[in-house]
Amino acid sequence: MSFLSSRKLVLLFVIILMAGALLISCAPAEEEVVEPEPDPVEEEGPREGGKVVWARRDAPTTLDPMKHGEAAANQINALMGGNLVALDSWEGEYVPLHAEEWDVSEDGTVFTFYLRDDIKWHTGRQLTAHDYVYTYDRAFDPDTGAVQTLGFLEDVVDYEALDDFTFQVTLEEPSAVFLASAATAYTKPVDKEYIEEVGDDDYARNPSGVGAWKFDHWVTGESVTLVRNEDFAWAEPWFENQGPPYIEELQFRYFPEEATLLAALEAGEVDIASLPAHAVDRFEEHDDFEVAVNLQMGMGRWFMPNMEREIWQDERVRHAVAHALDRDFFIETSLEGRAVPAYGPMSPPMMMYNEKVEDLAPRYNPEKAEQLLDDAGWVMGDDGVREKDGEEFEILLLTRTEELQMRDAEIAQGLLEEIGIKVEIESFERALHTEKVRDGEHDLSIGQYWWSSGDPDVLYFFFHSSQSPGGLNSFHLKDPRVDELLENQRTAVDPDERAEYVHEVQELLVEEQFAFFVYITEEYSAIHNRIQDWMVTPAGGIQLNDAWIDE
Amino acid sequence: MPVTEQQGAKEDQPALDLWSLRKRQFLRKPVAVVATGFVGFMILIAIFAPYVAPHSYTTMFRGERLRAPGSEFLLGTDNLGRCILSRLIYGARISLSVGLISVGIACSFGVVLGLSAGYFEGMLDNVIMRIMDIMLAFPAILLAMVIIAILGPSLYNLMIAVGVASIPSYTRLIRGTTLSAKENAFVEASRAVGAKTPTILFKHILPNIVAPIIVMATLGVAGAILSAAALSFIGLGAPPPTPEWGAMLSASRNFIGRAWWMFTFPGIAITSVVLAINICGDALRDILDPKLTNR
Amino acid sequence: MTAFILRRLLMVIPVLLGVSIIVFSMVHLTPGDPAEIMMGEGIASAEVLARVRRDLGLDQPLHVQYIDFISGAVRGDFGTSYRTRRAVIDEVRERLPITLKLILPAIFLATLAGIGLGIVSAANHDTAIDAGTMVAAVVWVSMPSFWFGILLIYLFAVHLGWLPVAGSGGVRYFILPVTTLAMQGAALIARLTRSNMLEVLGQDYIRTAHAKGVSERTVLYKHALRNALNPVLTVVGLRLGAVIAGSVIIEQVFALPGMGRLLIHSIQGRDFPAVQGLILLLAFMFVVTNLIVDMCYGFLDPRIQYS
Repeated sequence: MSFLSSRKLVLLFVIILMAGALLISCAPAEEEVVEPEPDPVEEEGPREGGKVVWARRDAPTTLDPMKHGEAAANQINALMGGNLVALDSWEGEYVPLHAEEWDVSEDGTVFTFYLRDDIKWHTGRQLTAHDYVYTYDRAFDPDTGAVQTLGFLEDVVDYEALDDFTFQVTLEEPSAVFLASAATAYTKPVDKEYIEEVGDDDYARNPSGVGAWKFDHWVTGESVTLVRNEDFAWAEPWFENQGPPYIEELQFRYFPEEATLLAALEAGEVDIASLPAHAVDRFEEHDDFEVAVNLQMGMGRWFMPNMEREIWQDERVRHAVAHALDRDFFIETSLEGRAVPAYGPMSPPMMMYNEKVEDLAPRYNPEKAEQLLDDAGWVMGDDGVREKDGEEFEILLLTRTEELQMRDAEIAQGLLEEIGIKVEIESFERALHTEKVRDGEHDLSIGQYWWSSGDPDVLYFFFHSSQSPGGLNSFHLKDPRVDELLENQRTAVDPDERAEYVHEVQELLVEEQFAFFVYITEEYSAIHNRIQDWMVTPAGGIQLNDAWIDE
Repeated sequence: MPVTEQQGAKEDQPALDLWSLRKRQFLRKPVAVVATGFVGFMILIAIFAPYVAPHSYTTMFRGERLRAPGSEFLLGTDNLGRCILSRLIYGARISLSVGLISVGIACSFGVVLGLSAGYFEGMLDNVIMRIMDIMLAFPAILLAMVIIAILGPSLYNLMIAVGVASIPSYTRLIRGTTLSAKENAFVEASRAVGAKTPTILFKHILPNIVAPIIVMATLGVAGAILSAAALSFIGLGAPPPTPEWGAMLSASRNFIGRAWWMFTFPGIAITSVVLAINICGDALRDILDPKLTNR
Repeated sequence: MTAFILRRLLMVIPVLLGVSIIVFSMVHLTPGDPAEIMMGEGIASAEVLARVRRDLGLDQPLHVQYIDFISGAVRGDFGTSYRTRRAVIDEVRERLPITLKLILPAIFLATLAGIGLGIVSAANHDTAIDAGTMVAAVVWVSMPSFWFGILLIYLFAVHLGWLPVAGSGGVRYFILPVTTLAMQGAALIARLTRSNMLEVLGQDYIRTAHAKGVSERTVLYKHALRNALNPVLTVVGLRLGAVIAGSVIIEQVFALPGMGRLLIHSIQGRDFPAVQGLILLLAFMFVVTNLIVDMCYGFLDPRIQYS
C-alpha cells in the first residue's frame, strides 16, 4: 500500500484529529458570555400553554401502578392522580387530598376517610369510595400480582365503603405508618370502569387517573407525554393554583446515557433534569438554567458488613473500619463536595432524625483504626496486609455495576488498604447482585436508598431480623435489641412515644456500628429559566402545578 | 507490486531467501516500521509498567482531582485524583493482554477446528462448519454480551467472551487455506511416500497457512481491543479499578466538558495503538500474502 | 437457480434451530431467579414466587420449556416479557422500525461512501488525495465508535446546534447516529474498493482497453469498477453483522429506543423470553440478509454457477 509512504500526511492527519478532539472537548468551558436577559419580572402572572420536557435516565416499562417497582413509572403515576392523603414534606405531616378529613379509632386500628365529592376521573366519571374498594380488591387479587402495592397494605384486614364518600380500612394492629400507605402512588385509586373496558394490558399502556395530568401518548423507551387535565380542581394544599396546571404539555424523555442527557440539556432540548454532582458547576454558571438543591431523603451512602461473618463479630474491627472511612474524602472525591457527612442510618430531613448520632459516630482517625486492629489481634504483615492466626484480612466487597457504587467501592478500597485491609471488589448486575447478597456471599456490600416519604419505618426493612434472608437486610443482622425497638415504633400510635423508639434505634445502630455511614447526597436539578414559579419539596420533588412558561 | 519486488531481489542478491526478502520489503515501508516500533515500545512499557509509571495506578491523591496536565501529573489526574499517565501505562498491560489473549483463544480453537475441518473434510468438516455457521449467526458483540451476562463481568471473562466470539472467523479462514494447501504438490508427495497425518498437518500444511493466520491475528488484536472498549462502555467490561483503556474512556465521558485530558488521552491511546497494529497488519498482509483480501 | 435458493433456504432452518438451542441454554444457565426479578427485589413471599414460576412454566423440565419456546417462536409468539409483562413480539414491533431506520441507511451510506472514496483514491493513485483518504480510513477503523459518537454530539449538536442531540423524532435525529455507525464500514469498504480497483487496473484487458484508445473515464468506470465491485459486495454482507452489533452501542449513545437497547435492558434484567426472542430474531435477520447478499452476488457476476 503505497499511501503508507506519505509519512508527513499521516502525521498531519493525526495531529489534526487530536487537535479536533481537544478543541471539541475543551470548548464548552469557554462559553461566550451572553448578555443577561432583561429581568423577567413582568408583573403579568401565570400564562397558559407551552411544553416542558423533563429528562430521566431510566424509562418505565408499565404505567399500571400495581405492576411495577420503578421510580420512573411511579413519578408519572403520581402526576396522573393522587391518593387519600398527601405528605407535606416541609412539615413532615400528612394532609388532606382525596379525603377531606379522616378519623382513627381509639385503638389505632380503624381508619375512616371522608372523601371530597367533586373529584372526577379523566373519563369524566365521579370518584367514590367504591373506587377505593375496587382498588383494594384488585391489589389483593392474586392474579394482579401487585407485589409492591401489597407491601403497603400488609396490615389491612378489612376495608369497605360505608357510603359513596366514606371509605374505612381496618388494620390487624395499630399502625403508625398506615398514612404513608394511603399517600403513595402504589395504592392510588384505579378506574374500575376504564380497566374493565380496555383490559389490564391496555390500561398499563394507556392509563387513566384523577390527577392534574392526563396521559397522552407513549413512545416506548423514548418518551411519555402528558397533557393538562382541564377539569382538575383538587391540587395538593400547598399549591396556590388549585385548578388545572398552566403548562399545556409535560413530556418525559429517557436518556440511558448520562453524557447524552447532559448534552441534550445544554442544547436546550430538555427543560428539567436531575444533575450528577460533576455537572452542577456547569449548569450553575449556565445563564439558561436555575439549579435547585435538596438533601437526599432516606438512607445515605453506607457500607453494610455481612454480620454472619466471623471477622465482624469483634466490635473493635467494626469501629476500626468506621475510623478508616474518611467521609470528607468520599464527599470530595466522589461527589465533588456535593454531599454532607452521614453519621447515622437516616438522613437529617427524615422524620424523627436523631441529632445525637452526630456525636456518637466514629470520626476519621487512621491511627485509632490501626490501634483498634492491633488490639483485636490483627497484626500488620510484610505485604501491608494485616493477619491473624495465619489468615490475611482480605474482604470481598460486592457492588452493583452502577457508576457511583463502583467509584465509592474503589475509594473504600484505597482507604482500607491504608490500614492494612485488602479489599476485593466484584460488581454484578442488579438481579445477580441481589441474589449474591441475599445468599451472603459478601463480606461487605454498599448501598444508598431513597425513601421520599421520609417515614423512619423504613429502618424496619433494613435492620429487622425478619428481613433476612430474602429482604433488604443484607447485613444479615439479627439483633434482638434492634428488633424490639423496630417493632415497638411500628405499633406506637403516640408520635412522641414512637419518636423515642426511633431515636433509640438510631443510637444503637451507630454505637454498635452495624453499618458504616458515609454521606448523604445533595441532590441537584437543573430547571430551564423559562419555567416560572416551580417549587421543590424537601424530598426533591419538583412541583409544577403553579408553574408557567414565560416566553 | 510483488512482481517488481522480486525483480529487484534478483538484481541485487539472487541468493536471498524468502524471509530476508520479506524483511527488505518491510524495511521499505517506513510507516510500517514506525508503527511496529510504536507497538514494540508499548509492549515494553506494558512489561516494565511498574518501573516506568510515575505513580501507582490506584493511588488517589487528595486535593489533586481533575488536575490539568502539568509538571507533576504529565497527563493530568482523573475524577478520583489518580495519575492518568500511570493508569494508561498500567492499562497498556491490560488492553494489550486482552487483545493478545482473546486472539490467542480464538486462534488456537480456530487452528484446531479449521485444520481438522479442512484436512479431513467429510462428516467432521460438515459438523464443525455448521456449528460455526450457527455461531456466526450471532453478531460477535452480542455473543460476547451474552457470555459476560452469564459469567459476570471480569477481566478474564472479557477476554474469554471476545475470544470465543471470534472463533468462527478464524476457523473459516484456516479451513479455507488448509483446503488449498492440501492440493499442493508437496503434500501429495509426502503422502505418497507414506508420511503420517500429524507430520503432514504440522510439518507441511501448518507452515504454509501460517502467513494468513499471522495477518488475521494481528488485525484481530486491534479488533479485540476495540471490542473490549465497547463492552466496557455498556458496563460489561473489567471492574474498577482496572485501568483498561476502554473502561477509562467510558468513565471519562461525563467529564467531557470539564476535563478534556480525561477524555482525550485514553482515546488517543486506544486509537493510536489500534492504528499502529492495523498498519502492521496491513504491511504484513502486503508482504506475506498479497492475494489475501480484506475480510 | 431455484434449486439453489431452495437449498439455501432449507439450510437456514438448522442454523436457526442451533441458535435457538444455544440461546435457550445460555439464558437458562444465567444465574438469577426470573420470578423474583419479575416481582421485585426481595419483597415477594415464597408462595407468590412459586405461583409466578408456575405461571411462567418455569417449574417444567428444561426440554418441555424449550419445546414450548420453539413451537411458540415458529408462530411468532416469543412469550411474555418478564419486565414489561407484554408480548415480546409487541415490544419488538415497536422497536424494530427504529433499528431498521438506523441500520439500513448506515449500510447504504457505508457502501456508497466506501465505494466512492475507494474510487477517488484509486483514480488518484499515489497522490495526496489517495494518501489522505486512506489515512482517514485506517484512523476511522481504529477509533471506538462510542467515543466518536460523543464527539459528534458535542460538535454538531451542542456547539454548532445544527442537529438534535438524541431521540428518534425525524430524519434529522438519525443523521449523527447513522454517520457514526456507517463510519467503520465505510472505511473498510473504501480500502477494499481501492485495492481491488488497483489490482484490476493492472490487468491485461485494461491495458488492452487503454491501447485501443478508450478514454480514461470509460476504462475506470466501465471496465475496472465492475470487476472490482464483486468482492466488495461480499464484504458488505459480512459488515451486516458488525452493523447490527454496532447498533447496540449507537442506540445507547444516542438514546434511540431500538432493539439493541431492548436487548441490553433485557440482559441486565434477566428477562429470559425477551433475550431469547431478540437474539433469535437478530440472528434470523442476519442469516436472511446474508442469503440475499449471496444471491445478489450471483446476479451481478454471471460467472458464478449455482451448482
